[in-house]
Amino acid sequence: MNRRQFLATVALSPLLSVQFPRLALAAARWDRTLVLVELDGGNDGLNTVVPYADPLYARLRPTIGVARDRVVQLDERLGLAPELSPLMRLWNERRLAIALGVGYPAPNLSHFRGIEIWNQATDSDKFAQSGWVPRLFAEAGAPPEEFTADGISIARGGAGPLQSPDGRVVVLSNGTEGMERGAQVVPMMAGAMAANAALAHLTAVQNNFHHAAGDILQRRIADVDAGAAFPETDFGEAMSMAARLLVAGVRTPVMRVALRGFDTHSNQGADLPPLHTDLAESLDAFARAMERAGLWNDVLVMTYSEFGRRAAENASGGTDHGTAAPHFLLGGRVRGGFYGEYPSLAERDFPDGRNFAHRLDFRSLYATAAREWWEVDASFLTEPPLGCIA
Amino acid sequence: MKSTDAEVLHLMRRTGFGVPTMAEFDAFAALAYDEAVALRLDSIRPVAHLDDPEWLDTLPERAPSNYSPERRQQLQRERRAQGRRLKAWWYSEMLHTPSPFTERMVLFWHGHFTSSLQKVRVPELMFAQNMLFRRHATGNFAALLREVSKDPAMMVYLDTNSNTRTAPNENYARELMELFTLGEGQGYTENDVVEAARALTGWRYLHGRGFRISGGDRDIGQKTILGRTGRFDGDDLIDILLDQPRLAEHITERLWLEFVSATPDMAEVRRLAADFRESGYEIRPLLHGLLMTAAFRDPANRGTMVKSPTDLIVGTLRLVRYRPTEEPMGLANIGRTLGQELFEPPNVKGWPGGLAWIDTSLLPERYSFLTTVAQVGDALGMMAAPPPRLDSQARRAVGGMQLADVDREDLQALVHTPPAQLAELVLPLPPSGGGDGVLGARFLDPAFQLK
Repeated sequence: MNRRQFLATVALSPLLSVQFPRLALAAARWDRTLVLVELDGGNDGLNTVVPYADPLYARLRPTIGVARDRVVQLDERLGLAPELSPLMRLWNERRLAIALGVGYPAPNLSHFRGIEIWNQATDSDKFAQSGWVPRLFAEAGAPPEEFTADGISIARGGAGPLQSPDGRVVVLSNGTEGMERGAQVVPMMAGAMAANAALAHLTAVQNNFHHAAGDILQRRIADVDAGAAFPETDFGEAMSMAARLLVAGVRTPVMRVALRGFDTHSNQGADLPPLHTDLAESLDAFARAMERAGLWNDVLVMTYSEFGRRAAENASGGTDHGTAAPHFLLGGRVRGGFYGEYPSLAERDFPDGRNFAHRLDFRSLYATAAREWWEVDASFLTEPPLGCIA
Repeated sequence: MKSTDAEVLHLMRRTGFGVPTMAEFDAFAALAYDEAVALRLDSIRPVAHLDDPEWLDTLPERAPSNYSPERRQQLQRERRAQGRRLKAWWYSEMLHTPSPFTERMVLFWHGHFTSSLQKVRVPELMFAQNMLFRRHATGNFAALLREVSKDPAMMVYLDTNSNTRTAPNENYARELMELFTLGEGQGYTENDVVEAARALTGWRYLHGRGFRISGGDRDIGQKTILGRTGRFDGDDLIDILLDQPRLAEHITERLWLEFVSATPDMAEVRRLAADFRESGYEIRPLLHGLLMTAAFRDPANRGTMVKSPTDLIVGTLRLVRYRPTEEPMGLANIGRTLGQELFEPPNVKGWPGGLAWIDTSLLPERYSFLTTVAQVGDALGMMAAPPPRLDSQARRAVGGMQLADVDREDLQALVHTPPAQLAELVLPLPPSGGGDGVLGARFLDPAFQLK
């Protein structure tokens, strides 16, 4: 069979249409917004969703483990680190889904390669040109031209999963005040683009900025009341910005924010709890803001991170790079509860003798966003969605 | 053969900050190209141009045990203030130095062998690391690698200091292979990382007492690293890494990306890397080789790289002949806003650089900075008498610049350069905005963002 014959077979195969059901809906739901929250540095899953009933937990974490009486119980086996207790309201309302054991085969323990894999949704030995969201746009069709942008990243350091060579992505790391300082950014003629790749990039950025700034600045985001009190942290500010943009009517299918500092090789007992506090308080405030604005059914929040951390703590009171970890999905349409399975804490079940085996492929989360949320499909998302969106 | 003016300007833009002075340019313009490259490399200095900052050695490296909590907090505040002065010191050095290429190399090593004040906390240690990068800026990479592995700031930043026999910390072992020597995924395994961490056990930095080997923390057992087995220690590990052919390619590729282009020619990289390895890792001949490649000299290669924030800030302020007489305390804030805060790289990989320097958040900030400098530059360059002082908003926008610290005579000569010549001097590509040739208008030309 040659390649063409193979492709013809694939196209006709009834099996494939069963495996990858095309949703009958005609139009993609780009009017719904996905808010991607990066836990930058590798969040320690074991001290996030704590398997407190498992005696192996205390053995893996003799000094930095969360004491059993401090765990906020979710069920008879699992509980949240106490700093995450602001998420309990959503859990009790069943608007918080927790995906357990999220990872992928042949995991890479480098921060940079790890986050690249998560950003691009590839196998760990494959590479893509763009983040998974623009890859999805490329197959399913881009959001409407009149939208503010194809994506808004409210974080420093590139656009992560929104990155593409030619996408209409806007980075807002210095707030709208930074945007106001951009009066000198004028649209550029396409003619200038021919010279070289750097100038082409400059031209595209300049034009994207001009388009988005025109839309965002007229909405006076700084004066918009988010409708909830956010923590006065960089992350709290970013989540507040995301809320205010949505309240003000900015249209974009995806936003990205990042909380930094999870690379807790040492002194984790002091460094991780404040990050969890910041995360939980900011997510709770975001939920309240959306509820108040009547937008809670139109947003889906999803966390991600380059990896979890090593099962056993190290001698510096910290944890080294690891593999699978739990992640959160929350929103008005989310069906709360656990998805997937907590990885076994027994050393004999660690594929490399040190790290957890994953139980859920991270691309299941992306398939959830694609098929259940935006109601589109993409050939590179072959994992089943979680089924957690109503 | 004499090189062309455009070729010399390209060399100077790529190995310095922005635009050279007329005198610098004239010294180079008379030379054949390879002589110009050699002269540029000769300019590199192993020490700083400015004196050591006066705040060095004024605070204890570690709070004495009898300090009260209040006194400890006070020490933290004093350290943070010193951290701000440390950043200002480096900006000042960059603005004053007769050898911008030195600063580009020190900044390159800072971005390669990253450490951050955020975690290290003691500004003195970051200063000492900066001096280390100067000593080896274009010296021997093997010596640099050995020293930086025992550098106190590095040992704190990547946790070498808390890596023990009973439970190794893999942080340094991993980044040593992934970032500093071999490159991500290049011929080493997770197990090599684990074994390398064991080899590094026992390396200690004791506050105020320098590097030691702590026998009790050492893992003296057998390790297998990159196919070799023995009772290796940290020095052996570095020798093993220096034996890997991939190391030379990784470093050559990194330098290519810094100085030549965003698209390394791997055949050329391998050729240069082979010579680099053969030379016992001498950096200067490698740089010479990179600057002599056809890829570097190709006229189509001019104006194809994005200026880093440091390049943009320092280059533009050098262009308007600003030589601060006091610590330029405000420049670090501008660097942070533009996406590059000295002594605080975003993570252990350093700054991503290249096209990532420009996104929809960073570009308006770049223009905002340039607009203010352009106004100041034009005003100072054109007016018979300087304005008495900048208003506070403008002062903030250019990092607290003092107008008295601008060499007006030199700036006026530049401003009165004929428009066509000025454009050629200041921009690596033909201007896209037309413009009337005023210096400030050139700053806002898109080509000014490039080098």
